[in-house]
Amino acid sequence: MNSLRSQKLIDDRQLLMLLFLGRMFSMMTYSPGKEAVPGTVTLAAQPLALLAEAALLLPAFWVLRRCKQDDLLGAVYRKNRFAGHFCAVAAMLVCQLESARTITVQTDFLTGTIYRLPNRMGLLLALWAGILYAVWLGLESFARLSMGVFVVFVFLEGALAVQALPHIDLINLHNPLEQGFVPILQGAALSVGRCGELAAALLLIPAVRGKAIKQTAVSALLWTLSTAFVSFLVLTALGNFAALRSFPVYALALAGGEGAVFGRLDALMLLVWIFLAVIRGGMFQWLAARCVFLISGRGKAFCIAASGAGSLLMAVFSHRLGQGWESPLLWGICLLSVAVGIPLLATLFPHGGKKP
Amino acid sequence: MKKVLKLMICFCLIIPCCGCLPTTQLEERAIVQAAAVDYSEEEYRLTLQIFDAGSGAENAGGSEAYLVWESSGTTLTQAFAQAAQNGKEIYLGSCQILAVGQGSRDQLLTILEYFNSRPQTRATMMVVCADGSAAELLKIAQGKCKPTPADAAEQELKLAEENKRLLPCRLKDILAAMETEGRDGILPLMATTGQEEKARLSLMGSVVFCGGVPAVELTVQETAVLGWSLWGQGNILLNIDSVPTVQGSTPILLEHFSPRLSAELEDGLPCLNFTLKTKGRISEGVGNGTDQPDPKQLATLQTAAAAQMAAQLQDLLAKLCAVGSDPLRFGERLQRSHPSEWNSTKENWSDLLTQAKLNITVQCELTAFSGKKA
Amino acid sequence: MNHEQGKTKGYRPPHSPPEENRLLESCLQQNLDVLRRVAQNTSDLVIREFEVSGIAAALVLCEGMFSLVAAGQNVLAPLSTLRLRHATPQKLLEAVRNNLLLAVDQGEIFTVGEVYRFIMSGFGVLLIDGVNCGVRLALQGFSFRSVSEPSGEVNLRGSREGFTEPLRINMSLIRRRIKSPSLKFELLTLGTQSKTDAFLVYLTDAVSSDLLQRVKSDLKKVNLEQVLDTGYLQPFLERRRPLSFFSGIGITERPDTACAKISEGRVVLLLDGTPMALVLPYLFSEHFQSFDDYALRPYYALFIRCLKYLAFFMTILLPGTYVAVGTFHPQLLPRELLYNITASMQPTPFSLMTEALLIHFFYEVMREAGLRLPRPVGHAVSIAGGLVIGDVAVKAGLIGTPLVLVVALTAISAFVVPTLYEPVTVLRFLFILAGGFWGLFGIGLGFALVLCNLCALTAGQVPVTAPGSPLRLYSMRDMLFRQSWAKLGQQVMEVNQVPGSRPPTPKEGSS
Repeated sequence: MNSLRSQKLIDDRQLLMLLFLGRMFSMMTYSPGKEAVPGTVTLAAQPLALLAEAALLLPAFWVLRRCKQDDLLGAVYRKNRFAGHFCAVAAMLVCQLESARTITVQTDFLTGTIYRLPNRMGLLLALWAGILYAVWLGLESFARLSMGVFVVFVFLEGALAVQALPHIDLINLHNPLEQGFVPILQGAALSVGRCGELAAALLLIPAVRGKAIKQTAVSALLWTLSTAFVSFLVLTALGNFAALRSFPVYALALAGGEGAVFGRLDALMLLVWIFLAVIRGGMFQWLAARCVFLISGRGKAFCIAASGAGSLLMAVFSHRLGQGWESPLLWGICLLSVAVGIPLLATLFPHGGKKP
Repeated sequence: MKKVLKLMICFCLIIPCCGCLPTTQLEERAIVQAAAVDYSEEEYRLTLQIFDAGSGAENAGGSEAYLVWESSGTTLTQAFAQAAQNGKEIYLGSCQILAVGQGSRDQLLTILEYFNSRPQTRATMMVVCADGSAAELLKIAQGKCKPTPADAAEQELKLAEENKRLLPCRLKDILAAMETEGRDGILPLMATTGQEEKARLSLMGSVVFCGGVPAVELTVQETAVLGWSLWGQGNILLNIDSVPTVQGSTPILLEHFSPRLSAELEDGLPCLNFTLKTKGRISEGVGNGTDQPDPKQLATLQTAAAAQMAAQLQDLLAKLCAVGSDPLRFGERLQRSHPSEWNSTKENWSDLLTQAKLNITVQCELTAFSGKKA
Repeated sequence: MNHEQGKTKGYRPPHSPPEENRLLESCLQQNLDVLRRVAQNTSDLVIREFEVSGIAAALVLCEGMFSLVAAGQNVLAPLSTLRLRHATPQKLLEAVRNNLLLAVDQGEIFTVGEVYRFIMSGFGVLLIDGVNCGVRLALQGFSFRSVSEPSGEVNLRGSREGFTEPLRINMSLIRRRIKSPSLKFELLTLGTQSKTDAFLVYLTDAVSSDLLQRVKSDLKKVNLEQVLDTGYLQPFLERRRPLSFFSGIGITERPDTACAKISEGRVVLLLDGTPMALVLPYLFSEHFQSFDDYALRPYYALFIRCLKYLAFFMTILLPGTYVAVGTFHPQLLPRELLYNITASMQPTPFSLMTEALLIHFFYEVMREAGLRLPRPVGHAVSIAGGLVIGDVAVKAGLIGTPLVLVVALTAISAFVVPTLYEPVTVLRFLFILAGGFWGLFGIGLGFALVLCNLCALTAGQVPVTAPGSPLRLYSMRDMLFRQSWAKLGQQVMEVNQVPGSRPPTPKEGSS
């Protein structure tokens, strides 16, 4: 049977893990040197970002409650078939973009920091093929995998903390309110804008058994804490060296002691990061395939191939966009289109039509 | 069966499609143990201590066999390219020491950034300044030094680091310090002592950099005072003449330091406050060598030790401020406590430091030789 | 009794030639002719004709399958002394059925096919002239291996008994341990030619009916001529979706292990002629459990299980990681180790990946040869192999010394979890390739996909990765850490209570 149909495929804890680990993938790319606001401001903006994320999700949850169902796209389909198709296409594009972003970020890290390769195409193709295989295996496969990865990730964070402890110097933290409150707002907006997991949470709910909304909230709390914790370690232990590195979290893992076999945590971090890429890429790719299924009603193979081809094209041509690909504006629009646009359409249309 | 066949075909296709990554086998790599960079006549001279795998194979992988390669170029890239002409890929992942020669100190930032951008460079690699030519450090004992120059230098530096007689000198620390506004890097200074086969590497003090260029050299004792002030631990031996023992002056060992540093602006000029609380003990019996201290003598010793420590700190900070260097990060402390004042002065912080006012307070608590408090 | 049960539950034998479905006639000679014709005068068909109170009868047997003593003393002697008044075939049948105790297991059969199936299982069949049925008499007396300690699942504590080849003995080994009426042995016959007997063993009050139905329906789809080992049935029971290196079906040789599994609501399949019983469903974590874990103290069981998990991951990943690190990421190695490895690589002509592939290939060749050869020669091969890999290959400059250590560690670790030997061996080679081509990225991606594949696997309706994922803390009490029997024994955790193991509702369907 086609696993892309609305089925309760995973439980709420697995949803929590998927969202948390997906967000942690983005956290690994955190670099104070590239941010528009200083690192300390980003750190201080985390609680505000959490509130903003909650505010962003509330309207969508309200719409779902009003429609008395848990499928946002289904709610639009029930009201208007054309609008349903429109929303499904929008959601598909957003998910493909997020999946492509996962692939490009990972391959950029690998080619730039680990292998120093002139061409990223080989690694990009391999990762893309791997993600498609995971999607083929079904949402449950990487949702179940996420449980184990979560344990390893927590261990990694603990080990990073222990490793960074002797190097922590609080003098590296500056007053976040040095330049007023506006940079903090900016930092919060940037954090929320990169959080594609909010869109994923809304689209995944129909596939979840149990208390999906509660676990989404728990996951948001967890990722805020974790992001703040790792940012704190990076800022205090590395100081301004963090700004010199493209991937400071990885640099933090590199700064460990020598002597012991695999004494440094970079190997473990590299492995965990690849796992996170498969999980995050797989999650968005599965959602994109489900959108293709809603639009076309075709079989699993077709849906996965079609959505995968789109992601591959986006990933391959992402460098043409240059800085635009990393622009918070692009990802902010993507998030808003799903978290606000689709619920808005669901409330606008009168009853009618039917689900495909 | 069809499925298995399809999967096998997919697997076979993945490799040519994705391509194998370009590989370099271990024996094709020149494993750099230490690197020395000198600069003269607008040319970089690169000296590399390379692990001698051929000799290592004969001695069951012994790491003490090494070769010294030299190359030069107008840029470091050229110098490395020339070194790689030996047919092996230069591998910096195991480089323990980067030595910067006297002539190349002005290019320190360029050199560090170059090494930082090289693949596999360890951020924990130690950076030292050479007193003279950096190449000489690696050519010590005519290339037959045991342990190797890299190991010898690393041992010396690690020992100093453990005793807190040294400020952090890893690549990441130096780069972070030099990239911070108003903050400066301090590199250990090393030189060869002794002759020919008995020659060894010794720590001679440190070099303070200001604005990316060398500003002042500190002695071993001054570096130690700086290190203890920053780390809050270590041990320092003072000889107090005011209360003599049978041997002469009274030796006092200060072991615990609680530094409190702050900065503020007074009339537009920096005011650097340094409050140090130390604890120590008289390392030998006072007076006639007895373990029973005279409270008055102990109080005198405490005051004298505090004054001596304050004088040392005063000299050190004055020396640093005179060249506008701020290794104790007073600028950042000002930024934290008075951000608006920092914003107005950060551009001229180095210049303002030369006119800085120093408030140094040292409190000393001593215990007797036997451990009895004063 | 079990045969009767099979009949009453509507059991039908698998498809067989029309002659075999032919009903027995009243005429003895006609029946014997048919039997001889069907057997085409096979030399092991024994037909002993005699008269009982003037009525012609015959005892049909299969040479070597029955006990001569039992046939002579228990059947032929009583029948030859039987004197019936006004003897008729029906009276003789009544006497055999009710008055004479010829065998403990005795019943009537009606077709030629059944005659063959029973005599070839060691029964004797008594045919009486004038009666259109035969009487089967349990006279088994074939030689078989006695109950001995299983070589593949040796434990320090617990029973030393292992399953053996005859089905009935295996049945008794289980029955002796679970003396409960709810323990069922359901007889099946598999293989159109071999007609191999098999027992589905389960506890009616523990097994889920969905699981049982699923297993039965899967077994009905077995359309093989020969079923010689449980391995023949595995693909039918696995319903392999997706293709995977791992299986949701376990194998055991130990009756105590089988009993433990049965009491957890699993179904055990015993097959005649093999000591390997199948356990369905079998979770991945069970590969790392052994009967010793439950006999030893819990803290030691935890230690051993951790050790087994580490050994499993080490045997899969170590050679690949070694190749990846040596080729692409030498910075991960501590300095002294890097120097040693580089020095050892200096005289070798091959790349690290080629070396690793070669040496593992040599090892597998020697292991396979050592396994199949007669034991004395096997030892010689082991010694030669040890010399070749350990010393000569290094001295000849074919491989570096550290690789020998890697191979040795890998090889030994593989035997820590023997039930996973097949996937481990193949995955090891794949990871060497992945590490050699793509470094740690290849290892990481490959490992992620292998685990995804494992996570996608279900045995019946139970995810094989349960109870680790989907997670339920209560179910974790016997996964990594084993709780003490005082707590573990309070409530038996049945397999259908494992998280994620619910039957699919019609609406949700299966994935």
